[in-house]
Amino acid sequence: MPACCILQRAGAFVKRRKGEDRMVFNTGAALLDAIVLAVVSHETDGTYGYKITQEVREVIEISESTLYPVLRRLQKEECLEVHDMECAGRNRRYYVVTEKGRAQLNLYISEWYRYSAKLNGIFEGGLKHE
Amino acid sequence: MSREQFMSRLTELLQDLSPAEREEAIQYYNDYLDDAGDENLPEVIASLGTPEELALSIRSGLNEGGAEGEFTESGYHAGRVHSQNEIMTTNSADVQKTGEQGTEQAAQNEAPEFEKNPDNAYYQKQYYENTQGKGVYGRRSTDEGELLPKKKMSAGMLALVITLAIFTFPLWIGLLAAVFGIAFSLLCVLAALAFSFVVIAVALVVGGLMVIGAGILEIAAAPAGALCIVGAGLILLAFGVLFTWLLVFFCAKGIPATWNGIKRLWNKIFHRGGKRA
Repeated sequence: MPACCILQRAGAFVKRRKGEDRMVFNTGAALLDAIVLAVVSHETDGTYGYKITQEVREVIEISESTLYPVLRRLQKEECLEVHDMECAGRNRRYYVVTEKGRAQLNLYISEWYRYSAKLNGIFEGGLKHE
Repeated sequence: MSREQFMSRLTELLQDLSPAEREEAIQYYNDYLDDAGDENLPEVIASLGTPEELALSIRSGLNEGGAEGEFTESGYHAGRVHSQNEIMTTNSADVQKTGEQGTEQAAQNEAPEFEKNPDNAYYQKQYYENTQGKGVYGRRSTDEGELLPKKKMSAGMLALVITLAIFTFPLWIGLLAAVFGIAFSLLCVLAALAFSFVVIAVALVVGGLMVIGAGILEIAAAPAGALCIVGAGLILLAFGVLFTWLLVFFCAKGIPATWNGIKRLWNKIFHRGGKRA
């Protein structure tokens, strides 16, 4: 699944510096959207805010409050839709990727490959131009 | 801070959002704390930051509307609306619509002027770099704390202030007149002082020249006394020239400096005040 790939790529891209709890690279808005869409798209039945946050936090360093605005915006853009589901005696809000969201994710993934391939070209093959 | 305290403070801070928007956020964070579990509740609440910070992050999501900057392989794209139009042409109408909805909602809070003018990409970029880069996606920064008090005055508050202003009319019109009177009299004093200085300078120069002239006329009759008079005239002239020079120097340097100082003070008081209101 391409979604796993993009997560791995993102994880590789924002490696931590040794012994320092800081990220070297910033995660832009589009990349964060892509990561969230990818995480949500893993679960066909949908997934919930806390779980999404924890999964994203495994690969990039974001604060716990970062994702609400992102999820809300993606929801307004009709990339995500929500439904409430009964769970352990209470209602929990689940996020599911829509058709539009899937198209957007695919676009992000292909754009990411183009972008990272270019960067890799610079990093690894800078000598060719000489 | 307990969970109840935290959530009620957050609800309070989101009071001026639309009910749907507020409930959405409250439900999300209620869910979030439920899912985090009771055992690590204190840490989770702490990691969400203060209710003020959290409210700011919720708002920042609304302010974005549908448009925001992003980095692609072809550089920085100031507006999401534009980049999505390139990509999903069939959905461009929808995207435009969400963008406009976002702008309407943002108008309740602090609608960035430039959202109405998509050409103004530079400001968009600046704005989103500030709100996104630091405020939302980045680590918490001190900027957020400073941003908080700049919230827009609510409609009720504004009405109250206007009513108060109307009812205290006799008071502040009197004060205004007094301030104006004092300012005017100060101006008069300054003008009189300036005029007297000019008169002194002219009197010294003219007096000096006349004494010198008188001395020269007497030089044949009584050379020694005449030379003394000429000397005195030269001294007078020297004082006159010095005084004139000081006056010119003061006018050229002192007055513009004073004027700039007044302008700075004015800006300090009224520009900042204007932004807040």
